[in-house]
Amino acid sequence: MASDALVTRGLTRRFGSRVAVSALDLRVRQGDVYGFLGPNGAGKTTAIRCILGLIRRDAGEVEIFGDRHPVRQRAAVGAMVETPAFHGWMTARANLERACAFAGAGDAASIAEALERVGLQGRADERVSTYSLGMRQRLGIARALVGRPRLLVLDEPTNGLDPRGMREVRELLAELARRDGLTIFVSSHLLGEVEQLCTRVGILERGRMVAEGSVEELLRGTGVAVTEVDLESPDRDRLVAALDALVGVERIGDGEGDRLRVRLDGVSPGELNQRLVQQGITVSALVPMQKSLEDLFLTLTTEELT
Amino acid sequence: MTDRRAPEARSGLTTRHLLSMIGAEARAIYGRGSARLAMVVAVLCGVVVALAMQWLFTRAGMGAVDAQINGNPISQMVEFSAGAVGGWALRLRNLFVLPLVLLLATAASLAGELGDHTLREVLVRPVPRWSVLAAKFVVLAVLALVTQALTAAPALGAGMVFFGTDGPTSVQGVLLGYAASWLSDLGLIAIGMLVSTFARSVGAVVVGTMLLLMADLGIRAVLQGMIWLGVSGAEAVQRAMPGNALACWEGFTGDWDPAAFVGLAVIFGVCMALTGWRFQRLDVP
Ligand SMILES: Nc1ncnc2c1ncn2[C@@H]1O[C@H](COP(=O)(O)OP(=O)(O)OP(=O)(O)O)[C@@H](O)[C@H]1O
Ligand SMILES: [Mg+2]
Repeated sequence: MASDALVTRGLTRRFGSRVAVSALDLRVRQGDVYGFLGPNGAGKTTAIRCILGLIRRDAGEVEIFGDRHPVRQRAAVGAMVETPAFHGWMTARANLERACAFAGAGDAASIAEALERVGLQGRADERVSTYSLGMRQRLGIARALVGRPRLLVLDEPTNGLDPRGMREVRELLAELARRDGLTIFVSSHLLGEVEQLCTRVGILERGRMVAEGSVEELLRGTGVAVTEVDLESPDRDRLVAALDALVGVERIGDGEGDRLRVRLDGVSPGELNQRLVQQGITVSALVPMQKSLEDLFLTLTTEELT
Repeated sequence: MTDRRAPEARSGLTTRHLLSMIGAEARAIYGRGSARLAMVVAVLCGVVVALAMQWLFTRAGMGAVDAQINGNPISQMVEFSAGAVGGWALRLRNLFVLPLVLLLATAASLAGELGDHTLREVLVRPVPRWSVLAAKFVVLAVLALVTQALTAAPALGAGMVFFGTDGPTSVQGVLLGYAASWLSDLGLIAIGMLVSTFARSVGAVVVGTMLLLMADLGIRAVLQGMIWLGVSGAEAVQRAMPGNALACWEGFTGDWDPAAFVGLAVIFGVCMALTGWRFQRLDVP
C-alpha cells in the first residue's frame, strides 16, 4: 500500500490568542500537485513551517510518506519557505553544497543538474549577494531540488519572478511532477496558475480548511459552487418578471453585454430554458458561465469573513 | 498498524552526515570576517609582544639613559625569556580583543543566522537541532584553539630566538596557560551561544553578554561584602563566578585556582544544556 505523501491531522498553532492554524487536516497523495490556497494571513506559511518542524506546533501530527519521525521524515522533502535565505558572500554553488551537506545527500552532479533546471548554470559561481530577487527565488527552488527529494514543499515559489520566470517555474514544476514523479505541495495566491498546474487544491481561511479536492470537484460543486448563467432575450422586461417568479433562480445583476446574470440553485440551465419557453419567452442566448477557481476562492473566503 | 513508538526511533543521523555538517559549518564560519579577524589579531598579539620586548631588551641592554623606571634598571624589573614573551602575549590576547572577536564569530554563526533566516534553510533538512549546534560548537572550538596557537607560536618562537628559554617563567607553564585560556574560550562560546538563543542579531548578543558580565561584577561585589561579613562559602562562590572563572588562565604565573576551573565547568555545562533546551523549542521562522 502506497502511503500518502503528506498528511496532517489536527495541526494547530496559536500566536498568543490568535489561532494561525486551526485543527488542519490535510492529505496530499503521492503524485499530487497540491495547491495550498488562502488569502493573506490565512496561515499557509505557518502551516508549512509547522510541517517542516521549523516552529512548534500546539497540537496535531505530521506524517510524510508514512513516517512520523519528526527529523527523519524530512529526508524525503525539499522545501522553500517564503523568501529563500542564502549566505550572500558565498557563490550559488557553495550555497547548494552547504545544502547537500545538511541534507546528507546530493553531489556535484545533482547540484549542476538543479542549477541547470532553474537556468542558473551560467551564473553559478557568482556570489549570491549579486543576485536579483528572481534569481534568488530560482536558486531557492534549485536548493529544494538537491538531494533528490520525493516531496517538494514550496511557499509561493513564483514570488518576485517576471512573467517569463513564472511560466518557467510552472513548467518546471509540471515537468518535475510528470517526468520525475515528484509530489508537489505549493502555496500560492495566483489562482490562474494553480488552476493550470494543480491536480488538487485546499483552500485555507483563517487557519481552517474550507474546501479540499480536485479543481473540477470543487467547481462542480461540493455544496459551495453555484452555477451562473447569462441570459438574453428581445423581450427583456418579460424575462425579468418571469425570472423573478421562478423558484431556484435568482437574479444577481447584469452579465456581459445586455445580458442578465442569474444564479441557479437546483435548476439546470436546460430546465431554465424549458420553463422560459413554456411561458412563451424567447431566449436568444443562454450562456452558462464557467466558474473559475478565482470565483470559488472569493466566494469561500469572503463568505467566511462576513 | 503503525507502531506507536516509531516516532521515537533513531533519527538516522550518521557520523558521515555529521562530519559533512561540520565541514559546511567550517566553511561558513571561516568564511566570515570575524573568524579571519580573530586569526589576524591572534598572530598580531604574539608578534607585537615579541617585538616590543625585543625593543625593550635592546634599550635595557645598551644601558641607555631612559632604560630605568623609578631608578630601577628595566632588565631587573622585566623578565626576558621565551616564557615571559608567551605570558605577555597571552595577557594581551585575553585583554578584551580576542574574546570579543570569538564572541562575534559565535554570535554571527547562531544569532546572525537566526536573524537572516539562513538557519531555517538547514533546519528544513533531516538533521536534529542538537547536531546543528554541535557542528557550530566544534568549529568555533577549533577556531579558538587555532587562535591560541597563532598567538603562542610566534610569541614563544621569537622569545626563544631573542632570549632563550631560561627564566622564572617556564615555557611549559605558559603552554598550560594557553590551554586554560582555550578552556575559558569554550566557556565564552557557550555563553555566546546561550545568549544567541535570546537574540536575533550579533550586536544584541554582544550587548547581552556584556550585561551578563556586568551583572557578574555586581554579584561578585555583593559576595565581597559577604566575605567581609564572614559568611562561610562566599569566597569559594566568588572565585567560581564567571568573571573569575573565565580568567582561570591567569594561574599560569604559578597560582592556579581550582575554584575557577570548577566554575568554568559549571558555566559551560549550564550554558550548553540551556542552549540545547532552548534551541530545541525555538521557533525558527
Ligand atoms: N511569529 C508570529 N507572531 C505572531 N503572529 C504571527 C506570527 N507568524 C504569523 N502570525 C500570524 O498568523 C497568521 C497567519 O500568518 P501566515 O504568515 O501563516 O499567513 P499566510 O497565509 O502565509 O499569508 P500570506 O499569503 O500573506 O503569505 C497571520 O494572522 C499572522 O499575523
Ligand atoms: Mg505566507
